[in-house]
Amino acid sequence: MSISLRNVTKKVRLGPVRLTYEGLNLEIPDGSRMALLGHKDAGLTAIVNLMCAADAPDAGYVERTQSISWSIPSASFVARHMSLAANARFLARLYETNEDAYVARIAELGQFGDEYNIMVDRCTNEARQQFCFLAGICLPFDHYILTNLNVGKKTDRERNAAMVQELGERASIVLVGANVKAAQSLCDRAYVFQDGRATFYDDMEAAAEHFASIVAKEVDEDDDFMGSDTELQDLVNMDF
Amino acid sequence: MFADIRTQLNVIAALAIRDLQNLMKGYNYGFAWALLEPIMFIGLMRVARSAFKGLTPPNMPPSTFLILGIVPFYMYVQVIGSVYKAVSTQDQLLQFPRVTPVDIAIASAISDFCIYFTLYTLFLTFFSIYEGAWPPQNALEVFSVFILLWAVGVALGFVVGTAARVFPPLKQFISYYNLVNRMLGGMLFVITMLPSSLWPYFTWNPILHCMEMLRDGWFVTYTSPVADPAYVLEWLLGLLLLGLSLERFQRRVPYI
Repeated sequence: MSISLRNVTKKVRLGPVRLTYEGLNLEIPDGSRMALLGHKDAGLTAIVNLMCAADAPDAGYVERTQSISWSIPSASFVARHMSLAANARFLARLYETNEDAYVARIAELGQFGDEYNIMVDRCTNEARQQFCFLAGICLPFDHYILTNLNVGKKTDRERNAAMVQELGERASIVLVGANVKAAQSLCDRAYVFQDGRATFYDDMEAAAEHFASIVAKEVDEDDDFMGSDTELQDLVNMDF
Repeated sequence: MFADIRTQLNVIAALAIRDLQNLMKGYNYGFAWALLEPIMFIGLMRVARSAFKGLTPPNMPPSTFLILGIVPFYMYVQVIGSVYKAVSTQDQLLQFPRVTPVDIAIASAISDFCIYFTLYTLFLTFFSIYEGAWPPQNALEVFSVFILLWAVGVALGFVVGTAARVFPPLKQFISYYNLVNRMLGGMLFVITMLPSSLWPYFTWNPILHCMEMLRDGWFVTYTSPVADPAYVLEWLLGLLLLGLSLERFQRRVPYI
């Protein structure tokens, strides 16, 4: 019981990211705590879209035998002309859960006060982010895809981290992004994405080392590029 | 299997309710515009008909006659556009694993149906009572044809929406198609107002059959000589088969 990508080929064309995954195999078993580590140019959004069925692979298959969340805390589903409570009701209807209980649970955890019932446009960014985070983790899934844990007010973050820890005890967690520290504290295995390839590690230390080497390599490449062009170096160092 | 069907129906219901709630987002342009556009058009046509007497069939009250054709036609155009948009572009709601483009398309079409059906019922009731054309001769026929026209719009939306994913300029052709249909689709006339030598050409258009059936169903004084529901159903099945097949085969085609 898991989410599997089998021999997947996908051309990623997201903004400046231009790369192709070929013959990609990925397995996220039931109850695992998996990190998908990669930089912005690693095309992780495309991989998450494939896992969530938001997009189809060019070739190969994606198998899902369990329920999976969307990428939490993505805010793109939020209707800005409706209140946070109305957005929560939409999700409750979509996922066939008890509307009143779900709406009340988010209100209780988020402590939004009056912001819960006014148009999203008028809410603070922190309230919106916190809502998107809570909306995802308050629904019962077998796999939770988390793309950012630093949401909401500073005071909420510790509470959010504790909730995610608790979540990991009853469901599978997939942490996506470049936050190695969070990955090391939450996950026990990882895929590191680089140049259209994914390397699996069941040891988080080794995964973190690999990822650190990618970061170091990129910094070196930037330095080399700068070093070879003195005019560019002068421009960058210019005091405006 | 029934649990899956129920889940999918719940997804469509949730999306349709959200669509209807979102209509209010621009107060000036949301729900109000859906009402205002046909009202303005009906008003304009009513004035034009009064100015050029003789263009309206003498045995049918003019406002009821116009509403019977214009509101369903606007719904048809709107439904094609909504389904086209849902199928040809990558909606943000697709990030939810249980939402598919077909769900979004059907939900948008349902919300359009709700708006125009409300509008249709209100206008028709008011104007037909005012003009003495109440009650309809066959309300069930009118209601069925309204649904049939909606379904043809959904099916055509699937065909053009999926085709536009590989050929985006198709969008321009939809505007031309709607323009031609506006003139020749029977929205503003009944077939008996034309010379019978032209009937075989006009009756190729399934929309004309729908318009004929709507007038036939409402007015005691009019019996359409050409309306054929089976012909419209054939079109509907053909378009649905083509549209859903294209949608199925294009799932791996990336969005442009």
